[in-house]
Amino acid sequence: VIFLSADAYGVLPPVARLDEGQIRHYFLSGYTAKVAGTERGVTEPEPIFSTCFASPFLVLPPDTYADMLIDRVNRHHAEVWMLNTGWVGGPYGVGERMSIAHTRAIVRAVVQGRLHDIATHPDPVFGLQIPNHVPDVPPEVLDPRGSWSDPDRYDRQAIKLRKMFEENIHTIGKGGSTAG
Amino acid sequence: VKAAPSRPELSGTPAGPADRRNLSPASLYEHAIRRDEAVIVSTGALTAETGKHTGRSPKDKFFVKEPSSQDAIWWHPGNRPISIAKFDALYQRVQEFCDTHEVFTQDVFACADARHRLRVRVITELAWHSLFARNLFIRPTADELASFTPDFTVISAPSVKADPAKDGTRSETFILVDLGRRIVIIGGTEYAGEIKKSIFTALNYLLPAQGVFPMHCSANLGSGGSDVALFFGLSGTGKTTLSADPSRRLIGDDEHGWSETGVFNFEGGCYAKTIRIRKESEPEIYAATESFGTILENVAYDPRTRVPDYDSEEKTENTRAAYPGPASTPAT
Repeated sequence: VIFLSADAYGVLPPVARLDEGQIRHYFLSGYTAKVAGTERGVTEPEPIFSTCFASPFLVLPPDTYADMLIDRVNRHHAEVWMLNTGWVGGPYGVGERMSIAHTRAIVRAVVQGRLHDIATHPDPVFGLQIPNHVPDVPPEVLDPRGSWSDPDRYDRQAIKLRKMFEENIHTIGKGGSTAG
Repeated sequence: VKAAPSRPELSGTPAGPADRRNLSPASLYEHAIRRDEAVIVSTGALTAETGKHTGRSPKDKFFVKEPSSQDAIWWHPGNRPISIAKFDALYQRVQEFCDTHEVFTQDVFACADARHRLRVRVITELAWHSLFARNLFIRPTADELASFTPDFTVISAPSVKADPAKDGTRSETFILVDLGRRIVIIGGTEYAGEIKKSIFTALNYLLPAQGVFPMHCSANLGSGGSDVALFFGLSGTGKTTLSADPSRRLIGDDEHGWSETGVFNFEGGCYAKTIRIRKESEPEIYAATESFGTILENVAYDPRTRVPDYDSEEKTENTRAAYPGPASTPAT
């Protein structure tokens, strides 16, 4: 199971393995970011959260769907991975768009089960488990903090995004995202 | 989720006239052109413009507050209620419209797994919407059509417009879902994606009670035939691109169910984005744009040569191609 987010803030790791709590959290979040133009012609990232990646189409309470996902993942011992197909090395405008070739290499490694036994290390802000090594992907690509020229700026941006996730989780059912 | 209630029919669910039921692509092309709904472009595809609405209208969707579903529905600002009386009044207008105008009917299936199959009747004012339904959903065999009785009905009548003050809607556009009587009525919008997502919405309600997890994801299958990969992600994250993998079989690109026995596609077609499409990067979708029977939605074209221009955002960035396939075998 693969969750795709195009993180225009450039802080989510290109690939991370999710534990049960994270599966529920990131499924209920349904996060991506888009690059939106403002009136003064400045383009900047804007977060989009769509519950279960399907907010406008959900009919029953979101936990109904999240419980079904967790149940199936546990029963079939499925791995759940989150991929950032957005930006690395900095936010939109500073960093680069994640290479499709690298993303395809990550997907290939995941679906072939080649990351199953690879050791991981936690990222400091989200607690996501980042694999130490992915076949055909340069190791520096895997570490979002290291790919930023200013690691302190990375930390500030990452903490900001984590707060956006926390605020969103608490407002599920109060807003009504139209994104699908 | 309770059984459908015995609330009386208003005056029967319309079936549409027999001579405009389950028409073929060729015949629907002729109707669409005769009715001035669409044009043929140089590739052989049918091109339609949807006017004011070039995307979904999520704020105009309402669920009927009725006894069989009201306790189960997740009510929040994205799922707002409308009364039975308001629905019935608009339904009556939609039905009157169908009785007094040409309408087209397609009887189709949703859900490739026969045990969870939903028989859907799609009645449309527009001939090209009928072709859309035929392309997007699973086409029954002639035998299956002979004995077809719908479990769910979608009626799309863009010419019927609501009056917010009288009808209790937000605007003249409405997508009203009655989960009790198993009917969706759509008015005030020609965006064909509303038909597709109405069925997805219905399945998100009906399938959990059957032990099936409905998912907004793409899915493919490894050559071993037993390892399924699911890709969840919002628009623009790579769901379609990453599931199209030459070494794996595509199950579907948008909506699936995860049952006790496996993963299956809800649909029998694709509704792919075509903005700035290139033959080299998206060969399957590009090939579809060159096929007879494919619908191009809001794609600009040269009026003289009729060559489509996929780079143009003249009408919208959300340009689409609707075409049949992939094969709809469930992965177990």
